[in-house]
Amino acid sequence: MTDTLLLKEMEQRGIPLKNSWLSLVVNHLVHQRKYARENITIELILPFFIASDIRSSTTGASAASYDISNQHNITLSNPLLVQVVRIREIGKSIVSQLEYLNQLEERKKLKGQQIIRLVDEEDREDKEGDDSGIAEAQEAIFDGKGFKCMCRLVLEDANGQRFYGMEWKSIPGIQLDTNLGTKLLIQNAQIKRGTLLLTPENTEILGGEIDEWNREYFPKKLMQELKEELEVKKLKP
Amino acid sequence: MRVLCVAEKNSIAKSVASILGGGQVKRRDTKSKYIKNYDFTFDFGGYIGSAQVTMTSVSGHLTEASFPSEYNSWSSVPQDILFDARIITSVSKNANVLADNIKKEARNATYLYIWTDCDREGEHIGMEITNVARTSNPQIRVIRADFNNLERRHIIQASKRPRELSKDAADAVSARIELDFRLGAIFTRLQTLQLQRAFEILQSKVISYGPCQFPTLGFVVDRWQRVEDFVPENFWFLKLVDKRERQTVNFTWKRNRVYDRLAAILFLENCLDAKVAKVVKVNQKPARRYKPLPLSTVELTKMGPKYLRLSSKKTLELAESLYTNGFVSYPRTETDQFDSGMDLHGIIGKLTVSEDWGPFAQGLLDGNFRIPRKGKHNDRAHPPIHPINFVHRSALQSQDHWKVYELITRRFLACCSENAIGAETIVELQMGDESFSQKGLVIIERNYLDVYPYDKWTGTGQLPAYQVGEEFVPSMLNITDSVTTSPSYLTEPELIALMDANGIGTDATMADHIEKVQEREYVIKRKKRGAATEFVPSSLGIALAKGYDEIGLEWSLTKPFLRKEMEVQLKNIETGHLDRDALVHMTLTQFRDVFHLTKQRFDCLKNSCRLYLIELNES
Repeated sequence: MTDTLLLKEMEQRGIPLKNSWLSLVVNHLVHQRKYARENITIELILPFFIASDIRSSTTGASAASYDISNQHNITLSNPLLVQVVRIREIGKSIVSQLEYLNQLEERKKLKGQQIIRLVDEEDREDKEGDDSGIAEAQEAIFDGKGFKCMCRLVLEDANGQRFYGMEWKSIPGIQLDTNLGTKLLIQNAQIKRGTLLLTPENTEILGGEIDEWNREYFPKKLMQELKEELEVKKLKP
Repeated sequence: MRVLCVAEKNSIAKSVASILGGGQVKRRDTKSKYIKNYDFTFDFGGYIGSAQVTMTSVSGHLTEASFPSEYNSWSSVPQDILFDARIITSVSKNANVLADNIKKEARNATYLYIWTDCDREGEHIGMEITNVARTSNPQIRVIRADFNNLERRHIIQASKRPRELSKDAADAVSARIELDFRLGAIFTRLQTLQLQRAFEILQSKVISYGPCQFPTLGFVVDRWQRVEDFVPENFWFLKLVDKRERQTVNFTWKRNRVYDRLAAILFLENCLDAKVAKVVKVNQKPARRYKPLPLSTVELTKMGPKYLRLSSKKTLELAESLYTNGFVSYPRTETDQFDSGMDLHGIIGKLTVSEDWGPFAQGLLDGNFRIPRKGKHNDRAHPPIHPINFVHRSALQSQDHWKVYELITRRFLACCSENAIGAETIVELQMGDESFSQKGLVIIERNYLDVYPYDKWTGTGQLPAYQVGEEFVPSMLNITDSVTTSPSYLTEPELIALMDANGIGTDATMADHIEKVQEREYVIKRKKRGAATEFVPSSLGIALAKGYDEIGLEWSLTKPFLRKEMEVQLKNIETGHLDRDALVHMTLTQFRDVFHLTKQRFDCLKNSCRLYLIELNES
């Protein structure tokens, strides 16, 4: 395919690539990977795209045309391409998340062995009373329940504008260990109080990551960040 | 024909002798104040036939392990020599008179009939008794009684059906004794010497190591750390209240709670935009609260602290006393299912005379009886703990004895009852994109709850009427904020549950390990509000647990794996699937690595002690 055709097809998918960036990729494929120029397809380009920083690889055509953080009660009119900068669970306490991440790390060190820290009794009077997160972590890791509730994301568009997105309805694939730099395509989402309300219907996960951001982030760097946030909570009475 | 019967304690010897002797028992003193010899005649039938019987007892284990005297010096003997050093098994000083008594009585006996408790330790003690008897009478034939309570008919039947001692079970105990002894000596010497040298405050203290106590300590420290690390966090949730038919119904938000205030506001605004709540589901279904499972030792030792204000160890001791006196069955069992052939009605029948639960028991016999639930465990040696006979409160030694007997009996009757039955109504609402629900529970039949006050099930009352499709304006809809609460320190039932789940100790020994870690001052039991107690680690306990974790998590002596693995293998020896010496060799090899790693990285322990014993105590 010619560069022009490639650009057009990607744009139709909601991804307006920069000409210069595409040339770099195509040249790489031709000279390094020995593909014939005519045989280059979208499928070959996509992996490079989702591993890229959209500020370098795309034009502002897919970016937000206004300051999202100051908007309320409007609906996105154009498709919005973003990359995920940060993910936070707002349905669980930080203590609970740290417990989960700690147990994950421990399980790795112990090669799959489990230390049982809480035994589910038939008659536990106050199941809701356990704010330590121990039960949740155990169930998530060893009973296969998974650890996910409701995530809030920091998103960045091609112009470098950052704003919040929140899972209004649960989106499979968005969770604490989702790669930083994952590309999302959002259409027709509502914006309330500066936050995008995301649902599986309005959010398509294109995948990918940004290596610089994501390398060795989960779980150690995430735990560090969460601990710092917890320190701040300690100081505020 | 002379038969020498030997039990594990004098009280059992006395009980069995009086049953078999049928009232014609002559008592002789021995050189021990606590042990007597009981003489009678009894017809065993079968190949033994009628015989002159002497029934006596020992007092637990007869022998103990020790190293030859050349290894006595802690400071000049390198600890790793003890991995291979010879172990001497000899009759302990206290047991000398008991051994002498057995030798004397065995001399003229044809049969040695072992009547120790039917568990692993009992088989080993049986072997010890056999070895002693054979020194004075090498030709003596050895048989073993299989019994699990002291009820008259059961004992008479058991006495006529002896079996062989189980060498495999005795081997398992022998392996355990050797490993506990060697590892105990090696690591106690290592850590005591090194820490005594490094810290003045520990100069005169023996810092002992036990392969089960350390993981027990580990659990206590683990929970303590979580309490230390806890930081309360704010959270918000939506509250929807409806008032109708003069009732106030509080609906629960499906998302439960959210830790971001802005998000809560967005959810609330979404509901307010919708203006009305719509009823999307109204379901009525039967509700059930299951009657309890048959009683195992672990359950009993958890219930003691929880409901009777007795420590697990005390609870088990009282149960043993009740067993020795013939009121309940053998209290050391993993089994939580009744054998289908067991005569439960017979036992219920004996309980109908009680003023406390007689009528309830009679009700069971008159048609309310239901087959007990079956749990997942069966040790194939003993049934679940249950009453054998009726006994009146005043006939027992103490109020505490009564409490335990009552618990065992009420549990048994509850097992034979019907589950409690209720009706539950669930109403689900939708308001905007948010879902809410509430349940109303009405108890229709209490059934087992009437005899079992340890379980609570209260209804919340009938919900007012809701129709699917109905829309209404909530009388209140707002955001409520709250704060998370700290986890609490481990209670005794929780600790037992953790030991059980992680494979530390056996049902009989768990309570002992809990006592030991308190004796060694690694763990402190203290009261919390109400009558409950909780466990916190001492500074030394924390220092040890943290230090060993630093040395290497996989190998940490305060984590459960090493012991768990050992317990599994001990079971394999008992069932004949693993050779005793092979396990000992395997385990010592493993621990040799742990030992060298510990020695190499001992600074971790020193640093940990410095931090927790000195620095933090000064601040």
